[in-house]
Amino acid sequence: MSSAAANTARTNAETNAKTKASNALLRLDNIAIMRGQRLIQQSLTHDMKAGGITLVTGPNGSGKSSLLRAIAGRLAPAQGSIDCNVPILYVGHQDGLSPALNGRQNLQSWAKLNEYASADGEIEQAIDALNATNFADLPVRVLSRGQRRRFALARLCLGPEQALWLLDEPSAGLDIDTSQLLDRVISRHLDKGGMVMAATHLPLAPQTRPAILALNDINGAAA
Amino acid sequence: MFDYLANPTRFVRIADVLFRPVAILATGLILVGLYFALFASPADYQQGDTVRIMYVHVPAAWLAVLGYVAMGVCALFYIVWRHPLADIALRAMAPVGALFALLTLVTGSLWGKPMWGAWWVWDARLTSMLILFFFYVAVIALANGFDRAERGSRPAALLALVGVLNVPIVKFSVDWWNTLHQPASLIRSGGVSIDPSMLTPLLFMLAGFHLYFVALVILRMKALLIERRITSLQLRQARQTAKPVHPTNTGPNA
Amino acid sequence: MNAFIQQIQRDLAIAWASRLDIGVILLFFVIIVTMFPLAIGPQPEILRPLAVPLLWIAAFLSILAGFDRLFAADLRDGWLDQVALSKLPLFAYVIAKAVAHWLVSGLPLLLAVPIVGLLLQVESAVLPSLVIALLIGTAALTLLGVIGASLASGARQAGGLMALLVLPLALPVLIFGVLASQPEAGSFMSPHLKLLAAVLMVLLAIAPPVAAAALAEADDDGGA
Repeated sequence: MSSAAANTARTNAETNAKTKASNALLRLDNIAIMRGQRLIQQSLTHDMKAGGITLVTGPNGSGKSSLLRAIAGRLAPAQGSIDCNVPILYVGHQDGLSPALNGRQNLQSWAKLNEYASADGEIEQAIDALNATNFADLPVRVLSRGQRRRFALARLCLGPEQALWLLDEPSAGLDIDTSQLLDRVISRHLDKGGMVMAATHLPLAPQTRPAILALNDINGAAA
Repeated sequence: MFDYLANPTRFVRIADVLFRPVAILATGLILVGLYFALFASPADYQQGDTVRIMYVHVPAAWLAVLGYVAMGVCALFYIVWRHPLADIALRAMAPVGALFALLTLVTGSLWGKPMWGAWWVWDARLTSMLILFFFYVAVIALANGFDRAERGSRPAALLALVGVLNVPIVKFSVDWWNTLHQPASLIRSGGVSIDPSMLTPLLFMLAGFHLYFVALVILRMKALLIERRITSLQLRQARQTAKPVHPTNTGPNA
Repeated sequence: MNAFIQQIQRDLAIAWASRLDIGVILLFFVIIVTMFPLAIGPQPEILRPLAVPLLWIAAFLSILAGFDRLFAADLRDGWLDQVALSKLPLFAYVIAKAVAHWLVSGLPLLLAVPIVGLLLQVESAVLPSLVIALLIGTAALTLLGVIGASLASGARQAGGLMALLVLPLALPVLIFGVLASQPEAGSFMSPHLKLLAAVLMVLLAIAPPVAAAALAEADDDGGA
C-alpha cells in the first residue's frame, strides 16, 4: 500500500504540473472506480478545458453515474486522481428537491445553502430560463418528473459562470421544448467559459459539438 | 507487515499455516488449565467448589472486553487507512467477542445462583457486560443489515469506534447507578482473594482463551474471504450470462 | 453561518409542511405513558415513585420513533449530495439537522411533560428539575439519534437497527437523567445534572464527526 501511495503521490505531482501547463480545468488521471466490492471502471483518463463539453455514454452498469459522483467528490476513486480547479454543480439521478416545498422555495433554499444569488430576481430568471414559472408555487410532490427536472436544472443558472456542470441524464423526462431550452442554457454556459460533463443516452446540445467519452462495461463478457 | 497481509490470497495461505498450531496450542492450554481448575486447585473457603466457575468466567469476561477493543482497533484501521483486511477482521471478531460476552453472562448467572439465590442480579459488572453484549449485537446487526453486503462495513466500523469511546462511559454510569441503588453490595464478584495456587489455572485458562480467540478469528476471516470470492464469482457469472448472444461492442480495454 | 441557519430553516419549513407529524409524536408519548398504569395498576402509591423513570422511558421511545426520518428524506431526494458540494461542512449540516430535529421532536415533548405527567401522578415539586434534566436528556438523545440514523440509513430494517444502536448508548443518559430529575434538597445543580451535561458534551464532540464520516460517501444506491 505504501508503494502504491508513493506512486499516487508522484502521479498527483505530475498531474498538477501537467494541468497547470495545459490549462485543463478538469483532469481525470488513470482513475479506477469501485462500487463496494466491484470494480466498474479502470484506467480512465480525460481532460477538459474551459468551454468544453463531454458526453459520457455507455451501457447500464458501465459506471456513468458513479463517474459523475466521483468527480463531484461523493465517491472516492479507488485509484488515480481527479483534479478540478473550478466550482462544481451537480444534477444527479435524484433531483435534490424536497417534495414538501414548492419549486421556488427549493431554489431559494439551495441558493442560500451555497450563498449564491443574493437577489430574488436571479431566482425568477432561472425559473424562467427553464419555463417553470407557471408551476413554481406548487409543492414539488404534485409535479411530474419533467417539471421537477426543470427546477433541478434551474439550479445551474444560479451558480457561478466558470463552473463544471455534472449532469446525470439531464434530458430524461423532458419534452422537446424544454430539451431545447436546456441545450440553449448549456450553450450559453459554454460561451462564458464553463464546462459540462453529462451522462446521457439521448442527444444533448448537439450544436456545441460535444466530445464523447464512451465507457465500457468491464464486467461483461468480452466480445 | 500489515501491507504484506493485505492481499487476501496471501492471507488465506498464511491463515492455513497458522490455524492448526494455534488451535492445538489453545486446546492444550485450556485442557491443562481445566485440570488445574477442576482438580489441582483449592476450593474457596467461603464458596466451596462453585468458585471454580471463575476459571471460565474471568477469562471470558477479559476476552469479551479485549475483543471489543481489538474490534475498535480494526475499525480505526479501516476508517483511517482503508486497510482491506481490517473490515474482514472486524466482521470476524464481532460474533466471537459476543459469544465470550454471552459466556460471561451465563457463567456469571450459574455462579450467582448458589451464591445469591437468584439466576440474575443487577450487579454492576454483569450489567455492564450485558450492555457490552448489546454493543456487540448492534455492530453485527449493522454490518449485516444492508442488501449490498459490503455497504455495512463502514457504518459498522464507525459504530465500533463510537462503542469503544462509550464503553468507559457506560461502565462508569452503571457503577454509579449500582452504588446509588444498592448501598450494601451483596457480593463483590471476583472478590475471591487470589491465592497463588489459584493463579496457575487462571493464567493457563487466560492464555488458552486468548489463543482460542485468535484461532476462531483466523478461521472466520478465512471463511469470510472465501465467501466474498464466491459472491464476486457469482456477480461475474450473472453479468456474463446477461449478455445477448450476438457480439457486443469492443472497446479500448481489450 | 448563513448556510447553517438556512439548513435549520429548511428542515423547519419541511416539518411545518407536514406538521401533523408532530402530533403523532405527542400522541405516541401519551399512549406509551398510558400503557404503564394499565399494566401496573392505577394506585397512586405505586405509580408516584415510578412516575419520573417511566416518563423518561416514554420520552426516549417517542423520540426514537422519529429517528429514521432524520436523514432519509435528504438521502432520497439527493439533497445530501448538494450539501456535500456546498461550502457548508458536513459536520455543521449534521448539527443543523440535530437542532431542527430537537425543535420538532424534543421540544413538544418537553412542553407536554407537565400535563402528561399528571397521568402518572408526578409530583409538582419534581417538575422543574424533571424538565431541565429532560431538556439535556432529549438533546443528548437527539445526538445519539444522529449517530444511529447516519449509520443505519439505507439498511433493510433501518428503524429497528437505529433503536438497537441508540438504546445501549442511551443507557448512561437514562441513568443520569432519572437521577438528575429528583430535586436535591436546596441546591439546583445536582451532581447528576452535571454528569448528564458532561455526557451531552461528549456526544456533542462525537456525534457530528461520526455522522459526517458516515454520510461522506452515502448515496441512495440508485443508478448505474
